[in-house]
Amino acid sequence: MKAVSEAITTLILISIAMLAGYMVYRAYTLRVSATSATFGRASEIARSRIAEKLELVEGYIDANTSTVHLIVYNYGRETIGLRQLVIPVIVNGSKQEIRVIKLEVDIPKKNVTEVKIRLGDDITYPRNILVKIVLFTDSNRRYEYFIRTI
Amino acid sequence: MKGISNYIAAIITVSMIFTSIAFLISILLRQAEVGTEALNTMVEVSERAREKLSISYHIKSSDTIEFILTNVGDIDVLLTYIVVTYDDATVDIINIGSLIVPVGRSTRYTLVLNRSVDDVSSIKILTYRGNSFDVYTHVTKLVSTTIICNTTTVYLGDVLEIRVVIKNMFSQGIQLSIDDINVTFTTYPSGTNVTDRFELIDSYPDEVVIEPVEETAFVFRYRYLGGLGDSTINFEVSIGYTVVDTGDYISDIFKHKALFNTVAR
Repeated sequence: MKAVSEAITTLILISIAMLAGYMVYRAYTLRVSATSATFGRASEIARSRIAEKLELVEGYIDANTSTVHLIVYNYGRETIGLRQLVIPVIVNGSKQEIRVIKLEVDIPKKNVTEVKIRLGDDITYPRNILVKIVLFTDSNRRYEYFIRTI
Repeated sequence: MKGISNYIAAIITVSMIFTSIAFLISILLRQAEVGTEALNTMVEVSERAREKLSISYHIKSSDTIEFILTNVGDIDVLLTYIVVTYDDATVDIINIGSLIVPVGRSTRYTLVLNRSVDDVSSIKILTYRGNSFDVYTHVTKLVSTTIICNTTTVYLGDVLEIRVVIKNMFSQGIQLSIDDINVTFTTYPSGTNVTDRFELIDSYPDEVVIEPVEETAFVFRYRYLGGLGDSTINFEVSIGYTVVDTGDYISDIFKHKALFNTVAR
């Protein structure tokens, strides 16, 4: 009887020790994997920002149709996603506003793409002025350009 | 029991050590990746800055332009695209594959357009490293100025009439006042300003709006006050004009100069 109870006690103690050990190990590995994932994401963002190479070849706003024309050259080694355009607009011929326009444009690597963005019928621009635009990419990198209205 | 817990402790410790090593290696690999990318970018930026092209062109026919591209930099240039922008805001993107211009060498490239060269607003050549070279820009004068003088020789007391014919080549009307037109007289070749030797006795019209494609002649009548001997006189006409726009929020001032000459005796 004594031997049986000792064996049971030993088994229980072993189970407790194994469970406690597993919990310590699991907590440690979770922490490590979380840190690793955060670091991995941060380094990937840093790498993709460094790798991103974008050149505005030509940019203008067609004042007749209120359309922004951007000819952009992705001369990097990865696809660049244009996600946002921030542009000052003149609404109904008098009121000036800053508009944020969502974009879903992907420019493949080593490729030149013409991006046309229609601003709307209520938007007008005078000819021959410079308009400052800001483009945001997937990696949240911002590019500022001055483009002319024609 | 004591023996078993030692084993468990040993297993946990070894696992932790291996996990830590794996984590450390993973961090090092990622850091190396970022570092390599940064280093590559630095090299590429440096190489991009070293690309230098001297470009001339020859318009061979209404739709054909031949470019002569000379590499004046210290690195081979690989051309990838030509971007042609037309006046009506359309764009042609031409992939030219991989045209190499070696260091110190010239390469000819003939571009056949879909439309007339007259419709072209600009042509740019792009390189593999991301440079964009302006090759051709269509030059359009906003105003065309013709200066007509009623005499080729003036004597003391003579009245000289200068007619400045201004044609609006711009897409919008331009507002022009006689005060915006400044006539300066200088001797040739010394360039001495002798405007005070000519007395303005009349000028007209005072102010006009010239619509696109229209032209107006402004007349300036001067009396020659003498004192210049046998000299060739240049008239330099400088014009400042305001673009008339349908909106209320823009007025651009442009400057334009033109030259003409006569002889004072």
